[in-house]
Amino acid sequence: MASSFSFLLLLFVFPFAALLLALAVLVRPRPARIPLKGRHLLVSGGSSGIGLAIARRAAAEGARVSILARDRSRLDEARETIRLATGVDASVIAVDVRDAEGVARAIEALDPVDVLICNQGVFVPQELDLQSLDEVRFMVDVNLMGTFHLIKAALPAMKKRARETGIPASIALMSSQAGQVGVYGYTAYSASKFALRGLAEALQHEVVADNIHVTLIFPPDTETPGLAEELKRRPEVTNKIAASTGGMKADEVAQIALNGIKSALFVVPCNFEGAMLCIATAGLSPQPSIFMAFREVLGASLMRLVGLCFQWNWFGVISDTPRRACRAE
Amino acid sequence: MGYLLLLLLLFFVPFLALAAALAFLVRPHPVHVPIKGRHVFITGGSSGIGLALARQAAVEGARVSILARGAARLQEARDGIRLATGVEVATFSADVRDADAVAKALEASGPVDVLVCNHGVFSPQELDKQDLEEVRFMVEVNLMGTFHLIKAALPPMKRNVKATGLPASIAIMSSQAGQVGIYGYTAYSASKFALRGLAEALQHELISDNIRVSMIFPPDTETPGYAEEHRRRPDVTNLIAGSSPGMKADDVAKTALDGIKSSRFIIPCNFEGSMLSIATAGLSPQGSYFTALVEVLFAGSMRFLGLIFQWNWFRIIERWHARMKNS
Repeated sequence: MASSFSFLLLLFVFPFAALLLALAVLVRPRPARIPLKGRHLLVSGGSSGIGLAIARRAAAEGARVSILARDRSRLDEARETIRLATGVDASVIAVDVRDAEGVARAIEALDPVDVLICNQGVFVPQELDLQSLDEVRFMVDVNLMGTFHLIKAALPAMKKRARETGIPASIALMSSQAGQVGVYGYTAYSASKFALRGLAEALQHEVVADNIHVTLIFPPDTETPGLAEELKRRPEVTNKIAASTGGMKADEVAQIALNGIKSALFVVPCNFEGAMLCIATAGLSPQPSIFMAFREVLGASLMRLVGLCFQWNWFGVISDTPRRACRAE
Repeated sequence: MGYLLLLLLLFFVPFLALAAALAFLVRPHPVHVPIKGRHVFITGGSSGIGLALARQAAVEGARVSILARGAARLQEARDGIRLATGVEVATFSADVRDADAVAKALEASGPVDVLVCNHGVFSPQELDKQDLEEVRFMVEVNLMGTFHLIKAALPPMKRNVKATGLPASIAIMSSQAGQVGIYGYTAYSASKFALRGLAEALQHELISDNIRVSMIFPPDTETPGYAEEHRRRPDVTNLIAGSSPGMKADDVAKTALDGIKSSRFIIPCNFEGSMLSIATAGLSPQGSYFTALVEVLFAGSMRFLGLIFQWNWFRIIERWHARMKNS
């Protein structure tokens, strides 16, 4: 009786064990750890919100921190905040990420960057037919082109340094749950954030041999000055849809982001819904974590079903919400 | 005998329950988008997939307009279609990066019923070697160009839909590089991935206006564009993506048109593309309950397959670097 029961148990456990074993062999890039202590971490959009929280935490962990943003006075305030909280003196760089040459000059003047966190972002939600092309361009230029500028500028020295020290480096991109699914009001923002994933997947292929790991972070709505700005403009439908996932505090997101970067994960979800979203949208992304790969393979089918339920719900919300009058054409 | 029946029931009941649930859940409900007698506007329409689309749409009785940069190639295209089908297509010369020129062209062409944003440029190269100018070029043309077209076409498209009661369509030509980013494609994949975010959000915004969004994901296709790209490709990209085009432009065009007429959100073009589409279904809407069933049933195995592909690709990259170091 006991032996047939244990046989059945083995039969049940065996496929899971086999899968785990297969994944242990398959996962790429190979898992790594990215140390922060004593290394140079540069975070763009670092004078407020998630960026500032990341800078503060990294400084507390012993990293040499540089923060990059447009506004000089906000940067100085941020530097004060970091010094008061951690005693660490962060370097500040005032430059607009849209200015490729300015970014190149600024980064070349710094020490080589070991951990580059492209966290800058602007978001103006609106129906595309009502939104000005200038705003669309603004989001694409800052969120996407700005990231290209930062990576191009930091890469050469980062590669050299990784080679010399033998310690892995990291390029982390702050995406968003809007970079995993496009919803009403987010044509431009989702476009710019989806783009970061294509960039990241290809970039990881290109820099793996240089011992550089690419990380994408996917926070939900996070309590930041940026969100406060965004909420003023959000269409009603977008609010209803976005309520599907909980909000978070900047410091929580920062902690999760840094942990993900240190573990050299490719995708970093920030809460439970985010983890489900990551499984649903795993696509063909690389996955260095055996555990996450295991969850992805086992959870993919259920997550697709859940995703379809969400879309069913969202299309219902859209058809139930009266559309405000379009402006005269 | 009874046990067999029980087993059969145990297996089929959840399957049927799933199928029934999906039949209820799938959104948006599929519609038929007719093209006969309607205005089909195709960008990048003077060559490659765009030209094939224009020709096939003309044969099906659509009123076709093609937009491209070069006037000479537009002429050739128009003559070619006239010779092949007897149909006269309208031509418009504009650079999609120029929002004003695009607006003027769409105004001159009149309201569009089926907008096919098919234009695209691709220069594969490692990001650390590539000029930012080229990166910007791909983003401007592939992404901003599409925004310009949609913005300009939308108001008259909506009016036409209201007036005729027939659904309209905005079709966006993506690429398998818009489903997975690989070595050499940072900028191109960025621009194509972006189109998906755009499309998912856009479908939400336009569903109440009876406008359907479609995305087409061709593999490497035999076109002048591909020939151009192929010369520049890094070795590693060739090792990963294969060095020959997967499909002919006409076949891609046929699949695209069929998908547009069926208002499908995701349109793969071949078998590998279908598997890739299942693997990358993400949270995209899915109007076909049968495809949804396939997606749900095979999601896990497709993810596993995808991980095998990545394992292979990283091996290829590793080996190539080892060879380079030795030589």
